[in-house]
Amino acid sequence: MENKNASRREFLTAGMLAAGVATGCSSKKNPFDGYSDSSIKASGETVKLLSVDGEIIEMDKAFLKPVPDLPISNSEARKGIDGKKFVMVIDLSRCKNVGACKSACNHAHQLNPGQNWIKVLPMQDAEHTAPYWEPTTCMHCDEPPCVKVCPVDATFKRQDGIVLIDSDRCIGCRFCMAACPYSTRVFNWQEPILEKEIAAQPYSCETSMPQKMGTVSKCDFCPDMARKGELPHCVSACPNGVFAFGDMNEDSVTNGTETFRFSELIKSKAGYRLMEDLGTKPRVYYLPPANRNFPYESGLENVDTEDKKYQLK
Amino acid sequence: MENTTALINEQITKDLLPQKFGKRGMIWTGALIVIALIGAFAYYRQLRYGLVVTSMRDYVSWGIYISNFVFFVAISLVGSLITAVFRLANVHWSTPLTRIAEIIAVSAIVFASLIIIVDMGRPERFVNLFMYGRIQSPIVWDVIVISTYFVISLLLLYLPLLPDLKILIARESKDAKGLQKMYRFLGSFWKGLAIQEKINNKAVTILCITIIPVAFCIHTVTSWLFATTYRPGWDSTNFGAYFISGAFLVGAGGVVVAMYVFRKVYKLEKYINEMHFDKMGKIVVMLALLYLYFNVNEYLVPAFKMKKPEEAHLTQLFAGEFAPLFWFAICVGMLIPIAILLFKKGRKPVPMFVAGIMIVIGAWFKRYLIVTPTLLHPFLPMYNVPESYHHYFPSWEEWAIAIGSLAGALLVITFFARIFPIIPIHETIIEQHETAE
Amino acid sequence: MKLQNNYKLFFILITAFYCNSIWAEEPKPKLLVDVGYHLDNNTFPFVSIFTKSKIEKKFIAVPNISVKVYLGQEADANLLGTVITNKYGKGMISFPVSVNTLWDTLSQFKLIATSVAGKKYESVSNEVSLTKAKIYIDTLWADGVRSIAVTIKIKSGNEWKPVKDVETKIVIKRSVGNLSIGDKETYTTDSTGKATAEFTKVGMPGDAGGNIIIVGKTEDNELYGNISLERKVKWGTPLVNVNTFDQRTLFATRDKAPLWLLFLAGFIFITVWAVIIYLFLQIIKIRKAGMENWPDIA
Ligand code: SF4
Ligand code: SF4
Repeated sequence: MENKNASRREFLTAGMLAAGVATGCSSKKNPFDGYSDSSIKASGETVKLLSVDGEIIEMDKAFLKPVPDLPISNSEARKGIDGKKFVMVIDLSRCKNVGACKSACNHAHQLNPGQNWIKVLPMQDAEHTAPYWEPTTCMHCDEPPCVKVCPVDATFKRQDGIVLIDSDRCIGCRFCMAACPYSTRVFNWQEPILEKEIAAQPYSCETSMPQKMGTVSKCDFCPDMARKGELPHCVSACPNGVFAFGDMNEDSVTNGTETFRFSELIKSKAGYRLMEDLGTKPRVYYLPPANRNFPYESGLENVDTEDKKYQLK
Repeated sequence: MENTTALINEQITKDLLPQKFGKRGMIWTGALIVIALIGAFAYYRQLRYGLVVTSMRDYVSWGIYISNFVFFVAISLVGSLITAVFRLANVHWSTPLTRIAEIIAVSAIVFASLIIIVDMGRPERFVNLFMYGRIQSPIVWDVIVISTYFVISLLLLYLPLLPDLKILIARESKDAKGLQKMYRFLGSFWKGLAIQEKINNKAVTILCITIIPVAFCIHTVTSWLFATTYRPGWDSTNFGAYFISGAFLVGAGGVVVAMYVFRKVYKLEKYINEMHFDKMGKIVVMLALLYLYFNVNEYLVPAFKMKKPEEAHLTQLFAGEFAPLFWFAICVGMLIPIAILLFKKGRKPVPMFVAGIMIVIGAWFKRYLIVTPTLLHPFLPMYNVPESYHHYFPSWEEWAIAIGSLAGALLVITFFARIFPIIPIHETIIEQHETAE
Repeated sequence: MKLQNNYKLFFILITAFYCNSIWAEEPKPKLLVDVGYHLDNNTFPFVSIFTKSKIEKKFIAVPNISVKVYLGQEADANLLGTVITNKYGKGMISFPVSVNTLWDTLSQFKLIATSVAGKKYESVSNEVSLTKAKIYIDTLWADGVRSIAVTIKIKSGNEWKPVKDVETKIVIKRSVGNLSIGDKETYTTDSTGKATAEFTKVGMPGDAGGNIIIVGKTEDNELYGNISLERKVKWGTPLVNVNTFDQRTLFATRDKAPLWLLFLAGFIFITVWAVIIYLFLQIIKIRKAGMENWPDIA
């Protein structure tokens, strides 16, 4: 069955050439330039192809390339992308609780009211220390307690560092929610409200969609976007460049406009991870809220009361 | 002499044979069935609309289902205590209590597993536990150990029942056809032969030895469902012992209650007498003191340090939102029963019955306090969630299912007592002879 | 008859309402079309299209727009092709063989993008006028310091001439954002058309062989568009990817449970169940004993 799918996929790939090139096409600021292989040489050999819109297009053969935007099989999704070690850096000195990360994420993943994979917490560590805004995602822990306790491998750790959930497998025991010290997991207490076309899709661990009643979900680091060579939705949505996403194996992270050498950034700005003492080894690093771009109070006007009021029926 | 023995035997048999429900029995059974059916209806609603019908939300993701589960597992431990420990220690006075204890254990463990399925968001995927079970997960340990304990408990119920089955079969005419068929199916091969007795005795001894570690496992593993997480109030190395001592206490309390009720209803004053209550009372006191000791450990030590994550949790328990319930559970579940049972007068049937009820009720709320307050005190502040996520009070569906499951467990015990002799006839006879000689 | 009249009236009313609501609407958002010219590795030119619209001071991508792209002038002979933008409002087209001869003769050129009028948006057009340019990369080594020099040349007549004051980026290619090889974000060419950047990112992980790819490029240059060139150099440290994925751990998958756990759990399980099975055998034994003595009853 899987094999059959695979060959079908290749076929589609050729068929969707026109679309394929479009996907590979880099906008000027495509942060994942590495994915679009620009070293192709024109072969001079052209092929005629049918575009998705029924037009016949002539194209140089060298431009034929697989479209990464196709469904990934479950076993592939469970393994992850070879050679990658995804990492995120959240710069607390830039956050003023705009909430664009949250809404972009909620929109992209069709989260229901009351569900937030990203939370922007008002924090104050001690009575006389300064308050700050702290966006939290899933930490994609390297030794994830949530994965340890899952009885059915429904949540799992991939080789590229991402922790994902298979909602087709999850039995809804919610042990992982109790085990996660960062309280990042949300549960689908009722039948999720979804757009029709999304609801009709088969579930994919990499898009975490469509969500299913009685299963758990959480921030997934948008591995589907990474495969396409794009940044997670929160990273590109934040107007202040709070989030930087990247690959530790390449020692670089980017917030879309700026790119940093990860090791240097963490060193010069004294990066740290949350609850280091628990030994969960998160893959999300924080930069302390020093030399802030905005005062804490400026974030208060963005405090979102919508979620608060919402009542599940 | 021969004659009197036969007479005594006949009398004992007559006293102890299962009896048809009287009027009160009918009302009792009917009430239980109604409560259980309401619970079933609530569960139907939950299946239909999802867990949204409960009050559990993202922070309090485990509610009274889980505390009820822990309660059932706890009370089921009693089977091993009364039967196995006493049998091994050659304590004879406990003979009339063994079957009561065993049936409590079996029905509690059945409902523990049912309630765990009720708690699942995707009950139809229960098979995943067997298809994709992951030995690293404490839930899988729990599944293994609970099913093992269930089988062992059934055996421990069944093997000592064999001689009684023979007696039941012998009184063929008096019973309904269906029952007779079942008795025959279960025990027609038991002829009371010396060799059978020998094998059976040996088997029961082996069972008693096996069931003790398994019983310890089942509750320790259940405590690990909590203790393997980082949460304040759960993150304790003491948890296994704490849970087991609590389980012994509630189990013993449950047996006291059952003793009293059966004695009253089946007029068994001759077989369950004040001596039994007195001895059980002493044991309950000892267990209550032990549990109190673990409670002091569990709360005093973290309270002394007041680590930051624990602080909110403990202050809520001692003086905050949960304080009334907390002190209620401590007083009613431990202190008052201890005060009653320390005195000889307190170890009479009626005060014992009251103390037993208190222990059971206190224990139920204690389980609730172990599960819920912890979840309301996560490490990071509760934020960006609906207001209702900040609190937890069970919905009617949850109450109905929890109470329905308790009713179901009582129903199993009731029916068992209707079908089988709740006090082992054969053993009582033997015992009678031994004491007579 | 009366009924019909009623219907008519109803219909008119509805139509009136409908029109009213259309007239009352805000002015239609205008479609904007961005045109970008790209030349990768001095071989293959292509055009990128981005359709967007400004809503509430924010640019929002507009998907599914057909855009016709022309070279030089809006004539059928000069049509490069039609692009339909994807769900992110983006599309791209390469130069067809048919324009090759025309393309080769040009040193300055114009790209015109015209959207096809649709239901929601009217046809809009946008154009860019650019000079053909090429980019070259040289690696330098002086006093133990590595540098990269990027040269930009433009076509003037039949020659390629270096050009000054062009802002270039000299970066290490990463899958996640491109990291400048030096301390500055951009480097500007001097009168010889050269921009030099010192390689300060020593020790960047490369591929398994320590290769990294250096890219020199112009970005959205008003005169030359986006031209870029890659060069593989062995300046990185070989990548050692520590993959613990296949290790037996508590957080691994079920087939990778730690051995100690497997043995411990297995040992306990087997012991207890051996006893249980033994007990079942005992029951069978009891049964047999009973049957043997009174076979008739059984
Ligand atoms: S943050 Fe929580 S959910 Fe995410 S990997 Fe860590 S423990 Fe698991
Ligand atoms: S709720 Fe789902 S993902 Fe979480 S532990 Fe249970 S089965 Fe695993």
